[in-house]
Amino acid sequence: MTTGFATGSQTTVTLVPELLDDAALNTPGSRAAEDPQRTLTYQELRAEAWHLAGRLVESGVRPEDRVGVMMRHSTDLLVAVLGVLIAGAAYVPIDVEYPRRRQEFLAENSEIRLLITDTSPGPIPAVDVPTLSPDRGRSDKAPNVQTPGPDDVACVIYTSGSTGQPKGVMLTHLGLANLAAAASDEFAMDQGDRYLMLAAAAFSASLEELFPPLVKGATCVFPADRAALSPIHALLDYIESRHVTLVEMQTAHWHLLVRHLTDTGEALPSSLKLIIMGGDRPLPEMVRNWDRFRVGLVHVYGPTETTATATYWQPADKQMPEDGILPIGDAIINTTIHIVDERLDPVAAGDEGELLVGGLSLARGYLGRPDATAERFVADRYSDVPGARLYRTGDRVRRLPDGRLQFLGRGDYQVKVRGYRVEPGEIETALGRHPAVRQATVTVQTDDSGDRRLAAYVAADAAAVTLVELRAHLISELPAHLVPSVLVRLDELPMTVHRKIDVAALPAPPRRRPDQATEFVPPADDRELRLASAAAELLGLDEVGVVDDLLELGGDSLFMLRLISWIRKNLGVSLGLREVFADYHIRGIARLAAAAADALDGDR
Amino acid sequence: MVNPFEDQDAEFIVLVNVEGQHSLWPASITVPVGWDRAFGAADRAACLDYVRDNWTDMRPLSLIQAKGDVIKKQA
Repeated sequence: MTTGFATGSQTTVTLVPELLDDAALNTPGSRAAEDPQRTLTYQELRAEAWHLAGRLVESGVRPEDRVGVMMRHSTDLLVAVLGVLIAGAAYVPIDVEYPRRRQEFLAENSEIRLLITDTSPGPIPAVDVPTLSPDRGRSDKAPNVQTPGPDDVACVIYTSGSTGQPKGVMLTHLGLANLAAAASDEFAMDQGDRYLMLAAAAFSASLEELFPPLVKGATCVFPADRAALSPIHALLDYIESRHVTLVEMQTAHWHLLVRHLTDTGEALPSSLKLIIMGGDRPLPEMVRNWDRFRVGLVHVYGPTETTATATYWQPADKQMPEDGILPIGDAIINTTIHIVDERLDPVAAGDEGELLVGGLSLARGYLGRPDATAERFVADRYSDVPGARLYRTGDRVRRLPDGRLQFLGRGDYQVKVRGYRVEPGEIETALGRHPAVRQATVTVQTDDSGDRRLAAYVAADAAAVTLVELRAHLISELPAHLVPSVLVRLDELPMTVHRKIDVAALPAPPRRRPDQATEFVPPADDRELRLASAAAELLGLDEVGVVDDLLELGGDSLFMLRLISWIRKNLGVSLGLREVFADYHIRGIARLAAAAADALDGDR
Repeated sequence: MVNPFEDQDAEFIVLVNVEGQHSLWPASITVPVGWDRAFGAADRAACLDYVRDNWTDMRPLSLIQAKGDVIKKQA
């Protein structure tokens, strides 16, 4: 079924309600979905979805209406989503974990007509719409239901814009159908596949999980608690115990997986056939390491605005590229891509340009934002089809000489710092090459004077590396303008519910060392260097001079205890509060530590 | 390299296709086939104001007409 503006050679795709009908007809007894409470066959899944669709229509839901879906991650969530789609309305996923304010914003901004929810405390207080709870009733058909057409909106997924309010992306039934067809084909899915439902429904990656199994009669496996699968050992245990064959992971999560496997020498669970990974640029080191695990990898690229996915890539023989550059691959079915320059002309072979995407997966636009839609979904000057549109991704790509499409970075994130064009990804990659660094992210901070500076956050064990060592590592890897002014070490980087690095939750970067009565005196020896570095980290400052008064820099008693504990662990000597406070600067404490170490040696 | 769509100082026009969909477009670049000039040339803000005021139903026109037919049939 196709419609609207066609592109090039067309592949026929089937809308989700019809996919469900077909699966219930062809593989009625096959497992469609399971969670810790229950298992549904395709016949049962269809019957529950149709029953819910009937209830929605009875409640007055009509095509083009939005219906909020605020459900725990379970088979009931899948039933609710399918019920809304069958009824011809559009579902708006509202994460049960989101703060109330955010839930209210989503419900109000999308003007939901009804809320389907199974959670306590239940309805969103500030939003006055009827609610419906799934009752797990079953019907073969519902007389009033008019199933949707290809151009009807199927769901509204909110994306966090780089600035300002989130925008609701209106995805169509055609877009979902195209994704389901493309993904089930790319992942070589069959009826025996068991696909882990890891993405939150509020995130467009969930579309690539929920719908492709319908095409092949495969099984959606809902974990009891998806957040509990963030730690890699828990994820691997779960995959093993539930015989999962397919998993889609965010790039940052995948990095953790590769590190875990490399560090522990563990093998991947034998049931696992394929990992689908995307969302960010993978580190070359990780890509090269992947070779040894002998499990298929699909690299997926695409913005929410093109129904989550625009391109796929997977190596022909599970062999990763030697240079570690994982290409983003080529356009999925019924999709076209163009790389253009600042005149919107195609770039010369190998040149960098902006990636534009056209085809059946394009969203209708941003809900209630025609202006923002007209800015990003623009006239297509390449299509044979008059009036076609292209989505401007803002992403920078190029074709490598061997034809691979390389993702170079998001235009939105490209920044200039002190006049230099800086790509945070390049710095993250360099940090990732340090053996102690598990994860890294680089942000741009604007300080009080309006100067921009780079701040790098790394996940690493405190005992494994000092900031001084990390800085030395970066200096050896990167041109000076790419070395961040600020380095922050954390045990773990905060992750969003979508398992991306939660930039908003990163701690404030260290402040610049305030001007002191005493001039900045740099460390003179290794002991002073390590102490100054530890003190700076504990104080949240970028640097500490060795004769700075620590009290003036905010070194309170808690700080003192933490510093003493650091000294005991790293320098092997125990100092008392009173003696440290008597000589309260780095040089004095270093002297104390040295004397204590000498005394220890003398005792032996 | 300034993206032509992000150039705050450039002149723009507003294009409309047969489905009633609107597109911001740099005035300096040839209008693609299947699109008509609806507004401009003007500055970026004026063009976006025009889009906000005139593209009030974002459904494709063919869809609006199809739904209209259904309503007529039912009536």
